[in-house]
Amino acid sequence: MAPMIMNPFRFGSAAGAGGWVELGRTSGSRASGATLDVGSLPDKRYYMVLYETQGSSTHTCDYRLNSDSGTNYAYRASQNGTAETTNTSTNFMFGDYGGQGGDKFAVAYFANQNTKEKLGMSHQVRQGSTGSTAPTRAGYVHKHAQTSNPISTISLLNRGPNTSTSGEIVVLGWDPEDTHTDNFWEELDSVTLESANASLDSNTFSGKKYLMIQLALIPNSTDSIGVDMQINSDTGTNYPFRRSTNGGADGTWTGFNEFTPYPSAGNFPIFVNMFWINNTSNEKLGIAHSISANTTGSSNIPERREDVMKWVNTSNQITSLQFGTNTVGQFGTGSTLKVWGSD
Amino acid sequence: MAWGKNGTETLTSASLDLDLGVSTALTKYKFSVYLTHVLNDGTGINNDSAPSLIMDNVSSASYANRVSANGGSDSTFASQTKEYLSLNTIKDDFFSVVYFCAIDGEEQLMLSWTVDAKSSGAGTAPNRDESINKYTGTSQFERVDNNNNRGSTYGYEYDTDSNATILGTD
Repeated sequence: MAPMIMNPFRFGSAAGAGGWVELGRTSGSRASGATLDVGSLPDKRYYMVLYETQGSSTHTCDYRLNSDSGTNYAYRASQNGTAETTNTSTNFMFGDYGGQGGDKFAVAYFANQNTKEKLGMSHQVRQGSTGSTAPTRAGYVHKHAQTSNPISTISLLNRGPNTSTSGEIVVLGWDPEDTHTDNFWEELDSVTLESANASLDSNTFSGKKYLMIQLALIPNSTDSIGVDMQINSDTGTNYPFRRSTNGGADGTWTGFNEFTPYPSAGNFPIFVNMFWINNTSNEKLGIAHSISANTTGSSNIPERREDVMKWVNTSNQITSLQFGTNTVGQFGTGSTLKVWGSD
Repeated sequence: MAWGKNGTETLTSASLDLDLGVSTALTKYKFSVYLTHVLNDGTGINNDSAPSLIMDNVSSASYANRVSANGGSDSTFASQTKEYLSLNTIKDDFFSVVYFCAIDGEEQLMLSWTVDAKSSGAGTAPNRDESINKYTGTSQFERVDNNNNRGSTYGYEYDTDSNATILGTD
């Protein structure tokens, strides 16, 4: 049953000025040791960076700022929820554990103040093998010990040993002085339930290369809800994924006909935030973070999930999303799905 | 409705406050992204509290938190007076990214990630924090206060050029 929709698109509010704006992008292959650079960046307080790469042979996706190849970086990283790795005085910002080819996608943020060390964080998903293999995930924090200049170039470095055959890095910016209205993230779809429903489905939306998705879910009455998800109404077993629950060890799931960004059902609100790389001819890779409120009241601790997901489809872009409660309950009135995108 | 700026403040001098929505309430939005880049002024004792946020100036026990530091097991804290961005105290520059979900009539939820610069220089690795919080207030928030052991007792101030920013959309 299709959900009732109210206010599917609303424009013209005071909001809309000064969101993330694209500052530049560079695409192409990267031989071992080569970078994709986005230079001549204006001095913005914050940067949001998206990258995606392909290449069947082992390559990496690390960062450099201002083309600095000196030993001026330090990092901390965790792969698949395992014990963290740290390193200091490196000549790059570690953004990829290496040892893998395949498609990769990450979302990063950097803080930029010219007289201060530059700080960053990123979340990455790696395809691994094509097909039913679950993807891998990693989280990083970065430091560039450079206090003389603002960030002017952000580079994606390939430490090799092989070539990344294609890819792209996109740099977005935000600054307090910004007044632009040409936001990078375009609203592709917005659905709010006007009455309780067991599903919350998008309309068909334009296929865009990068997707950002938010789900604000509330249960109907005393119903329990979780979250399951299909793409383009695909009911095949094309949804391998990896998850950590409350910071615990990762599990992997293959052979499923849906993702479950939040599988545990309860009579609690749930918030899911996702990013996807959505190239037609590549498997689609997603990163999701979720929180469930748990029972009402501050004495009850919320729960969290961290997922990376792979939609095994190399023929179509994601152009619709179908969400269910993963139980017999219904989503309540006011539950909302937002889909943002950009090429 | 497009994402847009809802509030921002950059300190022009060291201050005990780095708050949004104080003089003019923030617009209420269902979804928000909050970014803060806090700079240490290098004075005072600022290691008695972890970075945190206070919503709508409510400092009663209206918050519940789950946080992991450096990939360690989650720690949980019930009936707190603030939303924690970090498990540990931070006395260095730090940068946090927070995604808020605020549905009117429901408890408000947040996902956050923080990088703590630690000691200056490339010889010290930064720290990493992941946290989730809920605020039991059920009216969409209109104010967000940065809170990191503020107060004249300890003398710590956010340094000049510290920034807090919030973007929002419905």
